[in-house]
Amino acid sequence: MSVQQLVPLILLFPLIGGIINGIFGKKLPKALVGSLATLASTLSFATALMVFFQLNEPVKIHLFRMIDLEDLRLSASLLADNLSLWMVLIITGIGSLIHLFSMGYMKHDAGYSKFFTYLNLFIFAMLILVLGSNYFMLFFGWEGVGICSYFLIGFHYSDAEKGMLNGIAARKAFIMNRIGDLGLLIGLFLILSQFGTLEYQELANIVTVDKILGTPWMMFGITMCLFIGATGKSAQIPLFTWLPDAMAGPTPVSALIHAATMVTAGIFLVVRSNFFFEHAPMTQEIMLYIGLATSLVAAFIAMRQNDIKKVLAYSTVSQLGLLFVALGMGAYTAAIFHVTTHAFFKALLFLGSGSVIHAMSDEQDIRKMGGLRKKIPLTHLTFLIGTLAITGFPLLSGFFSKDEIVGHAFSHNVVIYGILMFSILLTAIYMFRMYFVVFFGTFRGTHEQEHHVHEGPASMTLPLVILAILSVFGGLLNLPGIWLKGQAHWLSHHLEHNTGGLNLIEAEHADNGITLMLMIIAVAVCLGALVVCYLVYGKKQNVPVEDAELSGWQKISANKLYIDEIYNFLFVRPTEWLSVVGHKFIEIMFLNGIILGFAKGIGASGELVKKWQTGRVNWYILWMVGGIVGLIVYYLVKI
Amino acid sequence: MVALIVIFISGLLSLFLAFAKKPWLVLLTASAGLIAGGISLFTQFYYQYDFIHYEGLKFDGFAVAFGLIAILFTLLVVLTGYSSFKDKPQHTGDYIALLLFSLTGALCMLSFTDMFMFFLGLEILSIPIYVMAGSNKDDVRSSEASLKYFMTGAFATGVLLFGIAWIYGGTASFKLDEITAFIYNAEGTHSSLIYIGLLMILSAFLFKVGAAPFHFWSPDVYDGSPHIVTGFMAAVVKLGAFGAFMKIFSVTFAGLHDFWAPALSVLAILTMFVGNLSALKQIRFKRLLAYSSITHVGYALLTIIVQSPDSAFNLWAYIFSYGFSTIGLITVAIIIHDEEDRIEAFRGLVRRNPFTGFVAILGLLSLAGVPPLMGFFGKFLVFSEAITQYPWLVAIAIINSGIGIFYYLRMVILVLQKEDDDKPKTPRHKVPVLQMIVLAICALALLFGGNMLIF
Repeated sequence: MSVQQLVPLILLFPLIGGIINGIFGKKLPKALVGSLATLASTLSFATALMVFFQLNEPVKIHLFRMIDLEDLRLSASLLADNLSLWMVLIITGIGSLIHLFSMGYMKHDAGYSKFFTYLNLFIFAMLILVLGSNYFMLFFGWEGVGICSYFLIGFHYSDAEKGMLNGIAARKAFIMNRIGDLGLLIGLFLILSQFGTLEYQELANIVTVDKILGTPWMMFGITMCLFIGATGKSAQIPLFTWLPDAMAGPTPVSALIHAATMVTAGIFLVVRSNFFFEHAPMTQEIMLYIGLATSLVAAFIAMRQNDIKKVLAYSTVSQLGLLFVALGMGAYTAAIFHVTTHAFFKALLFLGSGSVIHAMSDEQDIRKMGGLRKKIPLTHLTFLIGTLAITGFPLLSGFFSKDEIVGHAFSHNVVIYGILMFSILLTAIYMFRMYFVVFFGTFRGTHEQEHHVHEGPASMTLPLVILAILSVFGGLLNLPGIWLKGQAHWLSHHLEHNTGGLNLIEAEHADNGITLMLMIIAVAVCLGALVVCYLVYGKKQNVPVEDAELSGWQKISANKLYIDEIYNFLFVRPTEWLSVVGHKFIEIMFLNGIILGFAKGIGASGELVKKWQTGRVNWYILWMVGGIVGLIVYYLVKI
Repeated sequence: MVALIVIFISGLLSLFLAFAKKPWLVLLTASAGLIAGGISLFTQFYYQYDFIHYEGLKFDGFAVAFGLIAILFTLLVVLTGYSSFKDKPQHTGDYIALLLFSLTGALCMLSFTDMFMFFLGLEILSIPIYVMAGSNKDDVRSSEASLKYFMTGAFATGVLLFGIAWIYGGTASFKLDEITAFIYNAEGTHSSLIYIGLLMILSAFLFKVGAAPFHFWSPDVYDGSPHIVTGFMAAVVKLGAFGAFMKIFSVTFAGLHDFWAPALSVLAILTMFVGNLSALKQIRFKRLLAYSSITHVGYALLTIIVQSPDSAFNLWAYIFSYGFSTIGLITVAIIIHDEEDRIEAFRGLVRRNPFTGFVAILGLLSLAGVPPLMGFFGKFLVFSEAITQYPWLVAIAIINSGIGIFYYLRMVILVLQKEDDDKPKTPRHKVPVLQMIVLAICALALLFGGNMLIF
């Protein structure tokens, strides 16, 4: 089959899977529901692979027209090029593994079929987001993943103990995203008003080939609006607080949506729109500093978090910040490379934490774990690989992808490089801290939990193993220039077309000596953190103390920099106050009076008019005569 | 002309075939007659291009367009009524023959060229309806409806004749084109004879279409008549009356537009409000339909008030959409077959008979003017044409549409609701094949007809 036919199939499988599970899921046996969803995702992945090997040049597939007005033409069409297909492979590949993992993880959940319906629909929406050929399709997918994310964060909304909190977390995610979405939407309107189209290819042509640009302020406005959209979805300052709370969702959801795929939508958006961003240096600067600040703030908060998933969540925010730093420097392929490796090891870490939580009978507090190294060896091994990968341990995937970004930062600005290295150091420290606390020392949970600790079924361990392998070897995708000259920068070359080869030249001409020096510094940072953490948490078996006993910077870190409280004070309370005022004074006193009064008036006049209909013919004729007389009076007056 | 004769003869045949005690034979004859009439109307017009003149009748594009939907509506009414006629097979022939005779009158009212033909058409249209309104002899309300309709109708006819006489006095002619020419030639210097005559004729028309304050007969008559007659009155009789109304006022009296338009505007507003407000508290379905039809008359009057080349088409489109909604709803009411004709009987319809309930919802929403149903497009055409000349009139019409949504949606909710648990469940209604066909035609028209109207 040709690419033209295959690409829509990629979308179709998860959609069909979602529809079948959504309608019949409750009546089907659980095994079938799970297999169906996993199969849908896997078929999608297989199809994407077939396309991947056939694709030579970008292919646009027109599906149908959506809005067809004289000055507004929006069509549902897909664009298969190296960038979108690369994202599709990540989404469907990791998505399939997480589907598989969920079959074991969610086994005892009452909402089994609902879960897989949402998961498949999420994959569908995410694929639309990356495969669409215009911003309109992107927005459609953007909202689709948003709503699936909302459903899945609040998945256990009826839970007796935490149901309310889950609901609130979902709502928070939704509202935060809404703010970003509004920015995105305004950005799209600006693009439409400035260029008259939303098609990527047409826009890229207009901007790069025809050199027709808006005013610098217009370009700044467009890119800033797109970036605001990205800060919402990709959890950057100031909209990042929803992501840690989103951990209320089931762990596979955190792995798929809130680590590997959906949160990278913002990165994808910027990379897709790189032709705009290249003409808005101010936005790039802003993006760089916001990313840097986010990376640092999140890493700082993660230092004193004790919920295994919260640590990973802040780590995700921090890594996303790193990605925006890369984007701010125009290192688009480096960003996509890190998105890829991050998807591998972060999915692995989340699934690993899921496996730990599963083993610990739903315990998430690392202070109550400990010594799990021997009890669940496979999970331990894969978790270790994930940790090493994220901290940049030599020759693992994270090492190469981080190194590339850091290299760009170094040639860009040494101060930024320094701050970035500090953030990376913090990352290494909190990750190793968590690792040692969870897997070393003695078991600190209840006796019952200890008795229960066990490795998950094969459907849970297999994804861990595959992801661990990917985390180890993912770096091969984009080796730096100092080794294997011919094969180096494969991914960058692969994505050349999408990024105009902008940063490739820079990367290829990087000085070998400097690259090597940067690597050595990175290795030193990682190993230093490893040794320190081993001494503090591994050998001495220190356990993090209660939050209340902390002081100084530790207290601030444990309290998440008080950002939630600040937002509460700055935005939530005034809004609530405003809505109370609106309700009491505008709604009840003013609007209700008018509207209800109007309705009452209509109702009363209805009663009145009804009485007019007496049922007596003499009256009827009298009224008719009255009408005629009235008309004649009208004549007399008028003439 | 051929169409008139064909339909009239098939009516006669139906009357006599009834003696064979085979209702289906009557149905077949009537349907064949209607279809043949429709075809001949169309082909005659289509192949001769020219308008066909007879003494007193002229089948131009206007008459053919309106005539065709009159025939179509009559066919639908005959089809949907057939199963209820079957209860009293001895009367099937009478019913159908009267319907066809009345249709002949309607066709005359669409094609007349002089006041004689107009008056004849009106009487041919009306008299069978007086009879049919009272055809349910066991029900005292039916007789009452018939008598009321006849008495008020006779009064209106008197007024009409009076008005024609005044016009004759003023212009010395019965022929429309001569009257038109007279009015144009002597612009501004008319004797009061013409004005008074015009107002008399206007009153008669307002009576016939059921506009306030000449509307009082219609709730009682709609309510008392058998369903099928109500449907026919709402669709075909209104159509005939509106056709003639437009012919006389938008063409013949167009020269005096400045004189009669303000008065008619005021009455249109009155009509909308009276219809809508009275409909709010109704509990019987046909009464509700009557008031709803009064409101729709108010909207449709806009096409006559607004003088534009598209007015005739807009009126046509409006009646077209209105007719399908009403016939669909009447068919649903016949299927429900509630003795008291309560709106309450619609409760839970969609759960008992999903398709019937679906058509009921379509009909109601179309009357309320909800896109993408045909009723929306009908309203849209009328309002958008009027908005430049009479913005305030359209504003009031839109307010009224808002009020109207209340009682239509109330019924939609009823149709969707569950039945009360403590009451015995209403069994599933049986739907005869012919009524199913009518429902299907109405549903298709309501769903997809709107797009055709705007092309």
